[in-house]
Amino acid sequence: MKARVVSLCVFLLCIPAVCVIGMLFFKERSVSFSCISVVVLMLGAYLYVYEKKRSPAAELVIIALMSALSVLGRIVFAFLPSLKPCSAIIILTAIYFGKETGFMVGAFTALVSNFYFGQGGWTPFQMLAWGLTGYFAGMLGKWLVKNRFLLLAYGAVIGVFFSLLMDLYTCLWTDGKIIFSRYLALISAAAWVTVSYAVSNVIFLALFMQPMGRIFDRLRVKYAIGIYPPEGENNNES
Amino acid sequence: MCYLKTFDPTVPMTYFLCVMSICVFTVNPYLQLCAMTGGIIFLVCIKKKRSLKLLALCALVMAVMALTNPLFVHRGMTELFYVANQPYTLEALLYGLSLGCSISCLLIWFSIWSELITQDEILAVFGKRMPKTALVISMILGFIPKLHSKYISLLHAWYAGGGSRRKSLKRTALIFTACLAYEAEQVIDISLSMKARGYGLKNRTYSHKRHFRKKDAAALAFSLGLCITCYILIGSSRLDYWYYPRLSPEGFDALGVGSYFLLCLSPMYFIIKEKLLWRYCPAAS
Repeated sequence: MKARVVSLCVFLLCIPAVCVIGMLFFKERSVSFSCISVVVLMLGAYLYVYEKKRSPAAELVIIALMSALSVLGRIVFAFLPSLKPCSAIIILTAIYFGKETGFMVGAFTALVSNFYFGQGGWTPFQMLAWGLTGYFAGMLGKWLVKNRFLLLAYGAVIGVFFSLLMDLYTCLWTDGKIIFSRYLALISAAAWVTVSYAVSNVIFLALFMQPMGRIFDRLRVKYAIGIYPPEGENNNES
Repeated sequence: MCYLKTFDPTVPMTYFLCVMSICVFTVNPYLQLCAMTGGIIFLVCIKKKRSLKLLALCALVMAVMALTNPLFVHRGMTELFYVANQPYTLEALLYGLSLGCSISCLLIWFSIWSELITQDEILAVFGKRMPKTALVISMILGFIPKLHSKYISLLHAWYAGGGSRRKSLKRTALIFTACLAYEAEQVIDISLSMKARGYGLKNRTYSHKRHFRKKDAAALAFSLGLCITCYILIGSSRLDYWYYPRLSPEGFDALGVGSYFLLCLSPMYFIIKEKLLWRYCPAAS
């Protein structure tokens, strides 16, 4: 209850206050200041609410394991140029363990992998982008788990979305406001990256879909972890 | 360098936030120059030759930003020449330089941050406020090497079984998922043992090794005081600067620029003191 009040306060009071402060102090770059503070505040509020909630130990260790695994994936698959399995792992985790777990796995993957690859102003944006990747996957999980083509399509779309959000960050950072022609120029300059995100999501989702589904199904049957009750589909033959 | 590490981690974190929050969002060239000078001297002092690569990158970023900005923005009075019927203005060029400068400052100060503040110190600061987050992060940092060594041993088992030595997507994915299958069950065991030892019960205690001493408080007060002075001066429009339509003639406020300069260069006090002590008075250090 208290956590909910605090998060409401953040959304209703702190975010407008930060925007006003940005306008008062940094006139030319008020937009970039406000956007970055809003992203940080949203992440902070989410983490705070999560902190106050009771969550079983199994959920925490699953979050830690899957985040570690996607960081490891970034290292292990480094021999393939610009193909990263992180988003695919986040999406699959979110589908089988729920949207909140998905968000946390995404956010922690970004945070911890930047310990290895370099922290910076982009970290909060990356955390939010990957967190939302997981959150939406968890929301759509009911349909994605049944239809593999839908899952692949979701991977491609979310890859493009991720890239667009990061371009927005670059744009905000360089200009302090959104100049549309510059945004378009950035998007076209980063087109290769966008395509590689979408393609790598599709490839890794197709590769990991069945084995990971099998592993998670087994966890669900053996330890009752995960969100899908065992009745219904059991066509992942083992 | 060693002396700087003896502070409580909240002190350097607050200091970096103070410096970066101003230098990144301001457009005042005097403040940016202060941050740039302080950052470069500090970086070279603690990273020596390893800093050259980053400095070259920063120079490149500044040049690219300065040259490309007038292609997108056509404001400003002083037209230098025309590109595709659009004016290429001096003001936009300088504004691009200032943008490049704020990005470079960010890169430089973050590089110093990662040199001085380690993961453990971040966890020590946030561990008390956000125990669950800190727990998950430290678990992740523990799992990564564990998973990696598991991956290597599975790879060796693959070789021993006569598998191909060529790196391929399929082979890596196979071993990777095997790694997950193995570790997932282990991890659930960890969670069961956590539960058995009373995870999530009330009255859990948390041990904190560090003490907040007088010197930490003094350094904290010093950096916060200077930072707040700068913020008040920025808020009262005495440090306002604008590029369009003409470069502003004002924007230099001795108190504001001076206090920010002092803020950016303050770590040098400890570095120089330490060097002098090592050199002339080995017994005291």
